[in-house]
Amino acid sequence: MNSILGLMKPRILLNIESAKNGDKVAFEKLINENKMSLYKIAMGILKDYQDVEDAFQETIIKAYKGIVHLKKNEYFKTWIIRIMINECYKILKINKKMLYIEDVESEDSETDNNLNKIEVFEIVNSLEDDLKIVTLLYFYEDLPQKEIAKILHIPPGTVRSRLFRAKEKLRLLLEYKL
Amino acid sequence: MKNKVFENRLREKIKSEGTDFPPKLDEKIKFVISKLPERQKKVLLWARYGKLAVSLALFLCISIVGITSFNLNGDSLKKNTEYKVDNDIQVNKISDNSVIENLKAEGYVVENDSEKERNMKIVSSTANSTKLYRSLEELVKESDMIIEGEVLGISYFDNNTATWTKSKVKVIKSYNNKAKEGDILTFVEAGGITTQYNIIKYNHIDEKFNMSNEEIEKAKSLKVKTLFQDAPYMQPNEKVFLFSKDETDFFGSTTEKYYAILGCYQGKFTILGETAERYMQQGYGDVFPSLKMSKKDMDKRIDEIIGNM
Repeated sequence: MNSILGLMKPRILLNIESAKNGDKVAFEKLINENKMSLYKIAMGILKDYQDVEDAFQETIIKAYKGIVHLKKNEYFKTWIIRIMINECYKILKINKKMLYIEDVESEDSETDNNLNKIEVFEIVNSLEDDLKIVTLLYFYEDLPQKEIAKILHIPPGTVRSRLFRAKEKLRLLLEYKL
Repeated sequence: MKNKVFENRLREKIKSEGTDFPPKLDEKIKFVISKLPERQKKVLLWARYGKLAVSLALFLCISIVGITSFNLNGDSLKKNTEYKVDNDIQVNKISDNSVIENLKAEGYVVENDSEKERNMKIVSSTANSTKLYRSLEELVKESDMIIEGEVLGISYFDNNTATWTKSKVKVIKSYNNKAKEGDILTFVEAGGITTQYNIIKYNHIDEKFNMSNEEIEKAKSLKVKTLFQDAPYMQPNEKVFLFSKDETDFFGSTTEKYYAILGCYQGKFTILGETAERYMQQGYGDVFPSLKMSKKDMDKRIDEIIGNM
């Protein structure tokens, strides 16, 4: 059937159309399908669970209101990730929370001795914010660099250079584990 | 470790990591969604049916003007078998009574019954198009059959968990010598009228929502209209330019050829008055042009493109 119509037929697009029509069940399905991605990104930026909850709440409300204006349904995931990132940055601005690698490392000295127990996510989490977010979007969400640039409103060249720096740092921390 | 190797191993490691989603956050999500306002639905319902209402109003206006023209045109009223088509107004035309009667007997809808359809629930699905036909050249190049035609009758059928509309179209002009004037060809489009029961079965809704037998039985008699990307399917008496591909094998027909409109709706241009225009999905204007032009220009362009091939 794909050849005859020239169409692909993912069920998720059906949910998006239903959600645009006000179907809350379909909207909930969309959120559930993307919640893990949103959670990792929010946790990566905010680190605090309470803030992550707040970010989720705001993201859901904004996504529900704004989904009618979503022009290209196939970009739903990118679109909602962008909303989440914006909400996270708003919360950060309010809280003025900024963590640097040095702070994370000094907070928990056990991590130095127990690297084998730390998952990759925790190490990614310890990167500087600008490196961390591109890493999360590139490696965890498998988004192409062009799309990451659109989400973060930065040039593709900047995405490339941040990814390069992130990989160098991760290589130092993880190479012996991989 | 080389760059690419490191990157691949990192991705593998990430994929193998299991992260649990906090149950508390799950509850929060459910709670927030349950509190979302319902008013959005009303706005969207208006947005959806508002368009339908405007289209219907436009259709009625054209029909009213048409009827008025007939009253003024005494000659047309005197003829029993054929009405001349006024160039400015599209009117019902009975071109071959026996063909129409045969189609009716076969179960085809031969009259535009928008009133009946207006009250039906609409199930609209969307999908990505793998091919966008942005120009007439692209449409001509890929078509097996290109015609200007008039829709005599339509019928609906289900095949491969989808609903289709089959239109019998009389050829007014054939562009690539594959048919001749007066031939009646069969064209197929995605979308049509089916039962709610079919929609439930195709999408396994009964299993997901534990529907009762009573609900399922009720669904067997409820008609719904299915659309792909809100694109309307052909209606009786509609005049069209069609760009299509021979898909007889796909539908398994052994008695007649089935031509499928290219790109779902992209290869169908409705002729209203002197203008030919195709359906455009909202928001796609920047990547998918409507190719709206006068009927004369369309006719000329198609001939030119074929001449240059």
